[in-house]
Amino acid sequence: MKRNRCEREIEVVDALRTGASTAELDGHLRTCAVCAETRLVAGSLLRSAAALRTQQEPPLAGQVWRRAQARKQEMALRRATRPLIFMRAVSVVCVIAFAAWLLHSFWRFADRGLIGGWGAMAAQTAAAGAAIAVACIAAGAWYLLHEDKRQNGAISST
Amino acid sequence: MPMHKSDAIAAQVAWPDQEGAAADAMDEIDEQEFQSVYDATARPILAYLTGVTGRRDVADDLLQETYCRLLVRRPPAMDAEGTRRYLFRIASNLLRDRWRRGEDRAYPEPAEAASPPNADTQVNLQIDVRTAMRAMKPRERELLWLAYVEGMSHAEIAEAMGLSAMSVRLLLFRARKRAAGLLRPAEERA
Repeated sequence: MKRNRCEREIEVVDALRTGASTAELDGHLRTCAVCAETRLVAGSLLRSAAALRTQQEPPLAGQVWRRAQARKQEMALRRATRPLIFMRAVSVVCVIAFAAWLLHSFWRFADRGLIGGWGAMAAQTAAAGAAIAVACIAAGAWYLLHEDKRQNGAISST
Repeated sequence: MPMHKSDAIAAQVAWPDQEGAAADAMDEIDEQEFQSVYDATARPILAYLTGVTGRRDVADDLLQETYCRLLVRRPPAMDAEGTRRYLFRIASNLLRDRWRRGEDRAYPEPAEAASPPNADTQVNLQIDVRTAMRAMKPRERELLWLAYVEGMSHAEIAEAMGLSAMSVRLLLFRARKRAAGLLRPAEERA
C-alpha cells in the first residue's frame, strides 16, 4: 500500500525553515517519497515567501493605527446613538399602543351608547397616557445618563 | 539574561481580559507599542495574504483590516506567539469572508508568465509557485502556506481556519499531493 504520511515530515519542514539539515535526514529524503514531496512543495513555498517578504513593504504602522482610531470613533458614535434609536422605537410603539387602546375604548363606549360616559373616563385615560409617557421619558433619561456616566468614567480612567 | 524580541512584544501586548477592566484595549496599547508589534508581524502576514490571494492591493487592504480588528476587538492577554497566531486567524477569517462574498476568488495569472522564460531562477520560481497556486483552491493555498511557510501544527491550522485537526491532516495531504504534481514538472525543467 502506498504511504501518504511520514512521521518525519515535520522534521523536513523545520530543516527547510531553519536551513539546518542533517546527513541522516538527507539520507531519509532520498528514500521517502512523502518527505521528498514535502520538500518540493515546502521548499518552493518558502523560497517564494522569502522573496515576497523582501520585495514587499507593508503599509506604515501609523497609517494602520489611524485607520483603527477612525474605526474606534465610528464604533463609539454608533454606540452613543444606539439608545436614541432604541428610545425612538419604544416611543413609536407606545404611541401606537396608546392610540389603539384609545380608539378601542372610544368605540366600545360608542357601541353601548355610553358616549356621554366616555367623558367621565377621559380623566382616567389621560392619566394612564401620562403615566406611560413619564415611564418612557424616565427610562430613556436613565439609559442616556447611565451611558454618559459610563463614557465619562472610561475617559477619566485613561 | 538577554530579552528575546518575542518576549519584548509579549510584555507589551498585555490585553485586558475583562470587558469592564478597561474602557478600551486601544487605550491600553499606545502607538509606539503597536509599532513594535506591527514591525514584528506585518511582513509575514502580508506575504501570507499576497501568497494566498495573488494580489498585492487586496493583501494590503486585508492586512490593514487585520490589525484594525486586533486593536478594536480587545482580545485577552496573550504572548507574542499567541498574538501572531491570533493575527493569522483574523487574516484567514477575512480571506474566507471575502471568498464567501464571491470577491476575487480567482487567483490572477502571473504577469511574468506571458513573457519569455527568464534567466533569473528566482523569478522563474515565483512564476512556478504562482502558477501552481492559481490552479489550487483558496483553502488549499491557505493550508499549504500556514503549514509549510509558517510552520504551524495541524492543531494551530485547525484553530486558524475553523476546521478540525483531522480535516486539516486530510486536506493538507491532498493539497500537498496536488501542489507537488503542479510543481514537479517545473522542477524537472529547471
